[in-house]
Amino acid sequence: MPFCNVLSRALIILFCLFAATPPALAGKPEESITIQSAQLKQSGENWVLDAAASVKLNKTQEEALKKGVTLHFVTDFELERVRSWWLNESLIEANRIGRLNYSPLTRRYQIETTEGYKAFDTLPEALAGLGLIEGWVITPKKALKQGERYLAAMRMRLDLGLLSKPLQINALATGKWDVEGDWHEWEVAP
Amino acid sequence: MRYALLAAAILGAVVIALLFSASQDSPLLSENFPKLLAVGAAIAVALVALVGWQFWQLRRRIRAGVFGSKLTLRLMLWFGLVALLPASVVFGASVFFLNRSIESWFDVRVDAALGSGVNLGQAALDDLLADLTKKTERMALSLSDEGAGSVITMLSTLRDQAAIQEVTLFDERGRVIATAAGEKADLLPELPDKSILWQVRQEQAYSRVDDLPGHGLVMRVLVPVYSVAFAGETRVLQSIQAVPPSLARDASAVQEAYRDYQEIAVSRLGLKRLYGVALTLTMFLALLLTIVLAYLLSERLGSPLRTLARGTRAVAQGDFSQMHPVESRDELGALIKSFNRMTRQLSDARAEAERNHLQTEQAKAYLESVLANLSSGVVALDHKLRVRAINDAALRILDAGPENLSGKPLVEWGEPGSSLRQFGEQIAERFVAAEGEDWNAQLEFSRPGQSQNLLARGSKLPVDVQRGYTLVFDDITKLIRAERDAAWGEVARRLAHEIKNPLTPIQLSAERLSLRLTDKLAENDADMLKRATDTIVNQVGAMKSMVDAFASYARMPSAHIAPLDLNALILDVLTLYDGNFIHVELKPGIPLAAGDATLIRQVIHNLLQNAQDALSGQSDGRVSIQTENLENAVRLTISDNGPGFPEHLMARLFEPYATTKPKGTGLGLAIVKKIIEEHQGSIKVENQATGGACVCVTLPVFRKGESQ
Repeated sequence: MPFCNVLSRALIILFCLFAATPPALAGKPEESITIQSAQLKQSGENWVLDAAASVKLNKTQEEALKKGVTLHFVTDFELERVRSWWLNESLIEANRIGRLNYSPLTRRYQIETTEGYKAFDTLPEALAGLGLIEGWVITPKKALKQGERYLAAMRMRLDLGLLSKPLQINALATGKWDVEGDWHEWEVAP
Repeated sequence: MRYALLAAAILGAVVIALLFSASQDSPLLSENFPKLLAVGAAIAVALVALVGWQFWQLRRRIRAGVFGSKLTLRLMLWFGLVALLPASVVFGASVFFLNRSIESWFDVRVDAALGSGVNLGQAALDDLLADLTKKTERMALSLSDEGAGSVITMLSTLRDQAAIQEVTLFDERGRVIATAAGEKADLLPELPDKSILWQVRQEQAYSRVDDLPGHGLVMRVLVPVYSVAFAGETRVLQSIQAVPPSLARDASAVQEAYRDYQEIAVSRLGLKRLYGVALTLTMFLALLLTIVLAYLLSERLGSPLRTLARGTRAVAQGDFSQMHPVESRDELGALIKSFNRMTRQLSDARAEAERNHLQTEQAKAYLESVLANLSSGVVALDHKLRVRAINDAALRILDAGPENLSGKPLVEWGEPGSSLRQFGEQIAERFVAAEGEDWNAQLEFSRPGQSQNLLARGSKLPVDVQRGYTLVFDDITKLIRAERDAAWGEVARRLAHEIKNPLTPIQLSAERLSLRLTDKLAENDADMLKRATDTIVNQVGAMKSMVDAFASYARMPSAHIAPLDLNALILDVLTLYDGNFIHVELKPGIPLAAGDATLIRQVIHNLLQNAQDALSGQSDGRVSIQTENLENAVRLTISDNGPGFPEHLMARLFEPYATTKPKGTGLGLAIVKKIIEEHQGSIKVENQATGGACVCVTLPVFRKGESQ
């Protein structure tokens, strides 16, 4: 049957095409976001987080940013109570979004967070401003008890879900958009 | 199976619809996009597995030689091909037009125009900013000349003159010294960053446009204010002015368009990929569904064929009972209907044939049983005089096995030279001589120790039946013997009647002659007379006894069957004989025979007499008498070591008047035979290999209720 082979070959080719289309999630890219310092401290009646992260963008992301794509960086924070006899108790899970974009009209990089609006002339300044977290109110002072041990963790990542759909496809397909830092953990003893 | 397929088709359609809609920004789908792809891929994989399973099934069925499976495969491939061709064409065209249309969105001129628009906005903003900077610097110069007291008034005046929205003076550490604002300004002045203040104090003016959320485009200029009056302190003057709304609106619109355009340009590869994936998945799912459907349809199409194949096999094996339901109303259904009709007709025809066959068989069996129960021998011959059929009676009469006769020509019956062969040749000659006419003949069929008279009749079968002949023959030996016996009986009666009557007057006359004439004659003559009359009397006496013997043969009394102890009878008879030369060997305990003691005594007498006569003149003559027990019979054997029976007499030993003795009447054995036959026994005469004669008499065992 001559067309049997043809058919099966066509099917195989189609399948390969299809199978190749989803992203070959390439090996983990080099660390693009690293938490340089993080501290949970008391400020007035609250626990607030001060942290500094170094954010690096690769060429693709920088180019997209320059062309007007807004990048959303999400900072995740988790606080757990350490229990020696059982799994840790999760107390707080919080996150905040920092939006970074470039305004061609003003030729400035703009950052918008819950705290407000900032503009920078250069990208490194803007990234530094993005990585800088000051006085993020986490929880009231009384939520953490004296004598207990707590474990805090934070990380910063680029939220691909807030990109436009075609860019998401690109991100899935190329893996050039994976900007995700490791969890940074430290112990907190009030 | 069908429902699973339907579900897969619906699910696939939903997934594909969602995939296509995913290119628009809808928040619900943004996170689920990979899941959508995964579901689509899962459906595709499931369908591939299904198709694979179907192919595997088909392959197995083809290997097993299941009828219709090759047709199913072929239909499946045809369907697949029919689906693949248009799908490929549509797919290729879609991909082509998709790429073309996406690329057509991007145009160098549009790109340049949008870039120029943005540049235009930038230039306009730069102009405004430069203007504001100049105004602010002028204000700073005016302020540096003034004293400390009237700063606020001065600032207010200067602001009014320059028509600036908001003006604020900061000291070295960024604290507000004085502020003046127009109606639109906020109550509190906006504070600059420390870094900006520091920059300004380094005698570098700061001028920027900010795109403040909620405020739109706002210009901000900071310049240092030098004054001797402030004791060397460098103050900072900040002026804030909103970009005119019309300009701001236009610039923002251009910027938005530029941004969108650039974003799409960045993501066009992604768009292509998205549509490509959706298209590929669509085509793949459609193709797979088609193949799966093709399989189901082929199965449906092939099922009447399989039914027919099953039916054909059943008919080939002789099973006409299977009727197949007609499910479709198309030509295949009609075919099945015709097949059912054909099967029914075949079934009827076969039943009819079987009935006929049965009738024929019955007729044949009837004929055969009739033939088998005939006492006449019947032989059917074909046109070459070969035996086609022969009945039991014929075999019995000829004393031959069927293997010697069946299928053989007449002239090849038995061994060459045997009596059977001679008999066959005789009959064949008769058939040839008759030339198709019927013939009758009495033939002699003689074998060693036995001779049979056969009345044979040959006839030709009517031509319209079958070419061939029939031969019918009867054993008329007994009939002839009975006729002969009857004739002898008649002779004996005549003798008794016609001859015995004159004998007494002859004897009396001779005696009277002797009595009357002896005294009257001379002595010589008297002696002669006496001898002559004595001779007459003696001869008449001998003749009388001979006539009596014949008469007794002719008027043999009928036997009175009673239990008979054969051994006792023999011993009783033997008392009359000289026991020296008789060897008696009686088996004790033999059952009582059925016989008439008087007649059997005569038999024994006759046989012993014969033996004694045969041994006369022989010094070492011996006679032996034996009794034996047979199944349902007893046997008496009397043998001697005399000369035996002459061979030429063997065939006629039991006929009256056959004798070897010079003075015998020849009736002894004839009487014995007659008596034994009346007892339903048998007698056999033979010459022993060691010399001498041997007579065996077999009598049936007596059973109660059998007498008379």
